[in-house]
Amino acid sequence: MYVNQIPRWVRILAYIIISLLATIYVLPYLWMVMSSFRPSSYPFAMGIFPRTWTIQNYINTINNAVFMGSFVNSFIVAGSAAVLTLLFGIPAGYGFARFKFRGSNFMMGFLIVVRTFPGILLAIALFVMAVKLDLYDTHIPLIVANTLLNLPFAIWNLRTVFAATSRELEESAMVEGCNRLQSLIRILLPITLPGLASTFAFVFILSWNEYLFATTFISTAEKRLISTTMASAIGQFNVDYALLISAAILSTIPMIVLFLLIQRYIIKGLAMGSIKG
Amino acid sequence: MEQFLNKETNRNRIPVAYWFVLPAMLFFALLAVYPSGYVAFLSVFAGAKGTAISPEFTNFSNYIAVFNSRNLVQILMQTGFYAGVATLLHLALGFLIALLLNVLPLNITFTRLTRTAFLIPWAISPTVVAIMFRLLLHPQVGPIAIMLKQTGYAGVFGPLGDPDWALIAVTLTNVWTFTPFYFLMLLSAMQAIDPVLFEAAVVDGANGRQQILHITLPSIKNTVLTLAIFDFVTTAAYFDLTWIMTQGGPINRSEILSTWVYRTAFQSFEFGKASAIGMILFAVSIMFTIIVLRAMDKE
Repeated sequence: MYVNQIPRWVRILAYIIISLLATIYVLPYLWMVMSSFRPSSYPFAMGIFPRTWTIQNYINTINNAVFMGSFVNSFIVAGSAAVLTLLFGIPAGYGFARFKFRGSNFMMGFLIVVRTFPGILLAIALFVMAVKLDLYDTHIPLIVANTLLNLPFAIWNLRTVFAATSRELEESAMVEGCNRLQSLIRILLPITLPGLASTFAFVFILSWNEYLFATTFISTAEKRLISTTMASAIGQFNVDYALLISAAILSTIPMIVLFLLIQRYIIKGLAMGSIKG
Repeated sequence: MEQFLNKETNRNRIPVAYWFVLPAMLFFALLAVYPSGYVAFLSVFAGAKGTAISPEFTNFSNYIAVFNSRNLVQILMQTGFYAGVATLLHLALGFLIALLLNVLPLNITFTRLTRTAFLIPWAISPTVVAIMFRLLLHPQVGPIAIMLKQTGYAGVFGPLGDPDWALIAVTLTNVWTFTPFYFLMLLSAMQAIDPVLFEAAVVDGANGRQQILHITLPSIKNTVLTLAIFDFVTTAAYFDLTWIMTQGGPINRSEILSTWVYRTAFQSFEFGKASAIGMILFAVSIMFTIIVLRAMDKE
């Protein structure tokens, strides 16, 4: 944006406002990280800052069978949902990127409308279906629900990814005797790997963080995901806050790292989806 | 399938595209469209408890039960407050941050660092955010309460347990959590504006305020309105934060439609009534969307 002359005070005010807002965003995390090193001998109500620091909380979390089991469950569900999303999303994204066909605009619009459908209503319907199919309290409806939630954005994003590749490369492969499907798999998938990986990571993060379906479809404690294990821990009497906080940090850091790796790709995809929609 | 994929004649172009798109669309039809219809069916035909379908027509008894419930007006107002205030603040704060970080030639490292600080909440689960704010706002272990006590404040600071403050606290937590997303959307909308417009304005002697009012705002107006609809509709149906922070309490004072649906379905097992509330929520969302889209069309 072009602005010719900006008064000095405007710039100073901007620095102050942005710094203040950034502080509001960073302080809660700093408090969490600080509190995760708090020894259990020094209860939270005694003061904001711990007097001594310890990594015992992290050791306790890693040795805690409930938390670790939940991490594994979250990993299985988020990983399967991300794989399933790509299995449906790659062909669809490719189809929308390469072909203009009757109903394609309607279908792309439908994908956006699906996102505004209340999740809570979907939870009721899928719950009833899961009970009838005898899949309640298994991870399968959870994987399916996460795929359903994230597939619309994944298709939009993958369409952008495939639309950016050159047709010529693919056409020359087809001259050599590949059909559409083969050229997609052999030529396009390898060169779009960064876009595919970021879509995978995006779905993985959102499925890892999902709460509503995780709490609706699972009742057995051993099958819970990390989000529901933490949420039910905070509701209990006599919570070990430091243990809970270190579990929360352990569940969050991998997602932040993933996010920082893919943010460039995802931001582009989100921007396309919202502006064109 | 092979024969469709091999031939690239114009006549076969349409079937090829459909083969690629079909699996995803069937998945949606089976798991989004069918269940939506099923919920509508439940809301009319399910009996009092469980998912059993009553043998005869129920005369919309579930809907009548919803409209007769004592809490309906209160919960609707609370949902309106929650979604309305959150939408307003998401967009206002998101616009402010995007504007400041996009327009002004601030230090580049400062811009990058703060932008990352605003974006990170996106990767953090609402569960962790809800737990974090429950602890931050806790009357005994929370740092705010401890600080207030040290400065000599005699009262008890615990907004989540306070009927007058619980809804406000959850609403502000929602603002904290989702403003970064809207910041990002508005930022990319601003960056998509053609720089030539600003160059021309500078030549014509427009100052910064005039450029914002006459170029930036009109250019992103449609994006803002679209985001506002999307935001209001999804926030009204949003469940996670409220449920983990207050479960709609104390005494229903932070209950919104989504937590009410959840409570009715999964704690009282009145699936018919829960579906009826959900259908009302869905209908309100659609009506709201149509009204705003109409207003946009008129201009």
